[in-house]
Amino acid sequence: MFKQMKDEDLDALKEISNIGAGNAVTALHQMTHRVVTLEVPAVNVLPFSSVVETLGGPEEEVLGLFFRIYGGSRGNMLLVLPRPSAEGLLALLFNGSTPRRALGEMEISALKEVGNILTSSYLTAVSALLNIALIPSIPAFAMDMAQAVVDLLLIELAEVSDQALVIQTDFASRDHSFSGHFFFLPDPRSIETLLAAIEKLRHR
Amino acid sequence: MEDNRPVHTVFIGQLCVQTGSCSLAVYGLGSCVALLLCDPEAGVGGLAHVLLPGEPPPGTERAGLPAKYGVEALPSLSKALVGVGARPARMRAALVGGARLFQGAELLDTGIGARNVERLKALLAEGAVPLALELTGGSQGRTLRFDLPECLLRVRTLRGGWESFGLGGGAA
Repeated sequence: MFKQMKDEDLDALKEISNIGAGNAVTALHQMTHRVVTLEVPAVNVLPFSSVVETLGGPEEEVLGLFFRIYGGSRGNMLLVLPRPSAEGLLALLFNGSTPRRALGEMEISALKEVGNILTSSYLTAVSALLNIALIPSIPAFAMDMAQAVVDLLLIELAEVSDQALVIQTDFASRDHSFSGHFFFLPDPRSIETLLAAIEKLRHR
Repeated sequence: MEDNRPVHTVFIGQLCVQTGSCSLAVYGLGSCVALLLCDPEAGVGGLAHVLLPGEPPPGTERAGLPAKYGVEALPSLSKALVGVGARPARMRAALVGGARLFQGAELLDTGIGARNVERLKALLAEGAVPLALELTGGSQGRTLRFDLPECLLRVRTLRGGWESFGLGGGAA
């Protein structure tokens, strides 16, 4: 389903995810007062088994915040933070108080809220650029093995394709207190809509 | 976990059958289900890393993901096992996985893990394969190792340690 994607389409997807993630890390900077750097996005059509390699291995404990994207173009967004990063972020948000070993209601709620803000910022920027409505759902939360966290997404994609189009953008605070990954996974059936909007942008 | 036998990792949608001394492994099972099948007397076993409970859509190719659908994975695994010396009458099965990791947003997770487990149980019942062990559901990811030829299954979660289960039919 993705095989016919041209290099220029992949580049365009990279560019829009850079704009989305850029807006999200601006929000993150304002919340944490830390300088946050962005890596160049990677757009990959991956076989299922390789999605998790960038997360530090299949058994690495990570925080996963999962959002459905509704509106003019469907898809999923997964925000992944290694466990130490989630704790580092909490410490910053709660003014340096050390987080408890087990995350309580308050910590989980705070992380979900951060996820909400980041995902909304990401999608708002992409939405404004492409003139397509992109609305995130409420977040679903998991803290577990990295491979287990991405399972649900892969299963969903598997229903329509044997490959996953993954637009990944990594970010990190310059003082190493946290890092994380955005995974934007457009629904294979919505890719055309995205590409058409990008095409329109090119000829404006 | 320290032993020198070769480990074969079975990735999502794949299946693997082995004989001799080795381990089959799956790292970080979430909503997917590992279907294990073995003939303890012959000392052969296999594992399918299943994603979906439904029927495969007609006309699609799954050459790269033979275990994508449980309905295709079970017969393929069973056939491959017979090919290396297993007898259908001695086969035993185990199911691991099918958890629901994401909490608090049922709209997003429609219980695909549980549906995977139910479908596989129904398929095993149809094929008259005894289900020797079921470690399914819950809200935690699992890692498993399946040691051959002794048909010893070891499973762990991040918050728990390793637990061992013998599928040999005798005392576990």
